[in-house]
Amino acid sequence: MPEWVPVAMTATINGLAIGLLLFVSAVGLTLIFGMMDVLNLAHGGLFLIGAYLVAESPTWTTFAVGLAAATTIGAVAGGALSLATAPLARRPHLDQALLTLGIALVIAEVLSALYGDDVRPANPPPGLDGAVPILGHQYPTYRLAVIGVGVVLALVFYWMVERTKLGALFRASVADRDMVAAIGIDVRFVRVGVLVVGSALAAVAGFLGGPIYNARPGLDSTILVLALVVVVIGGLGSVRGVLLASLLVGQIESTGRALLPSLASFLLFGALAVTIAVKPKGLLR
Amino acid sequence: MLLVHDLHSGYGSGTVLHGLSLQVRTGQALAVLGRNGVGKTTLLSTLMGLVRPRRGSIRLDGCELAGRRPDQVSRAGIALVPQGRRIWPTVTVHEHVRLAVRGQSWPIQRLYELFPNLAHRRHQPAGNLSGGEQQMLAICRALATGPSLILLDEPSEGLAPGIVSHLATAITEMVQSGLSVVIVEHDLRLAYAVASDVAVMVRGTVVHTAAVDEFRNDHRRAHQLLGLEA
Repeated sequence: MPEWVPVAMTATINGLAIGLLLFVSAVGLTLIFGMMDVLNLAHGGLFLIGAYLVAESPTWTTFAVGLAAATTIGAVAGGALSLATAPLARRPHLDQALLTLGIALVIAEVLSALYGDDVRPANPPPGLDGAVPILGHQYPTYRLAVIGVGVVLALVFYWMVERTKLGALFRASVADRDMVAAIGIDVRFVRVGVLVVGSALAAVAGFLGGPIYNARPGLDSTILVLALVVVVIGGLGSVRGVLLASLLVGQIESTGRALLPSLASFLLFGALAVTIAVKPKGLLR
Repeated sequence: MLLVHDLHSGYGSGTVLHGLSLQVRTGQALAVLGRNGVGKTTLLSTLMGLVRPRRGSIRLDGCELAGRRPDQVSRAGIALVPQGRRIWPTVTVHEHVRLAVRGQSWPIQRLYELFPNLAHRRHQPAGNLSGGEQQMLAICRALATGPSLILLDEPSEGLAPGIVSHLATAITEMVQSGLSVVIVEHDLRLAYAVASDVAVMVRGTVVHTAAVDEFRNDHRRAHQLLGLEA
């Protein structure tokens, strides 16, 4: 077997894990922006909260409690964000960006004050901290578990958005929020619901991604940039588009860094530039 | 009954409606006519709550609606079929109806009987429908909310004559079922076919009201107000 094959294969599986994590994180961002026109730059901060929580969860019990805590904290933060951004709902995106960027900075500073500025390693729970052989190459078990969970979450979310009445409401709100209000639906509740679900997913993504990225200052902006790239490539409000874009960006991040490390950043933003030039509304819009 | 009194409304710093007053009786079909830019669409958007009025009163069956949100206006009994249809392209026909349906006055089966084409295409995304079908869907969505008053903004826009004729039949059926209708329409044949009365707007206010038969025979006034050939 040529030497590059196991490297490429590992990078591809890594890309799948990163892509699915990005999907869980970015799907909330795209729905919040696409449906409610709220540009939420605090999204990365919620991911970071999840990452620090998993760093404090070394056993299965604490892992389960930590995951529940991440979901709850994300959901509550989403509710608070909906209250904070409500007065700016009809204002320009710059106003919302400044507010949510401020909230993101506060989150990052609070975490930095609590945990310091060093990297905090986050270990997978016992049993998932080993490696399994794939084509003679050892691959981390936890990343395979993340792929499994990510696939399940992606399928559940896809089914919910494409096949349920709630999903139809999501899609209608992305297309024309005023007409949703005009059939008697109070879009303020939709707005709160989307921010709660989206923010909870961001914190869950951070929790699941913690053992891959480790909890550290700056992770929030790294994830936010990746999620924004995914949202732009996938198209605002398109769940299918975000899934496709997440998998694409995951591969570019992983395979690009493994095979062409010096060009990795160029590949990512090159893909963004090509998408904007060819399909300005996103891959599937 | 809808009673609009001294309504002022507009966008940003611009005022479009200047003290407009209007009355629509229960079961009446009123055509609002006027040249481009007189504020017809702004009137319907303000009645629906999509544009917030600056002053004035909008009362439906005694309930004050001025300044209410669109969802509150909808629940009070007003529905809008907007200009350009504004259907949700990725949402199927059936999902449109399911999201909107409220009360027992227009159950889904009755809506599909009124628009059988939509029944056949119920699982299609609305973006795949023809222009006429999309217009029917916009009407269907509005009816599903069980309104007592329906606002139709340029329903014939961009439709083939055969489709407009089908539209006229559907609107007439709605009126016969007891629904009040306000229709803004450039196609006067459609407006005259479905309405019993007309209100003519000039520069953001109603300057003339009359029964359709009276107005359509008053060529001099129609020419003066609408620029039609005498």
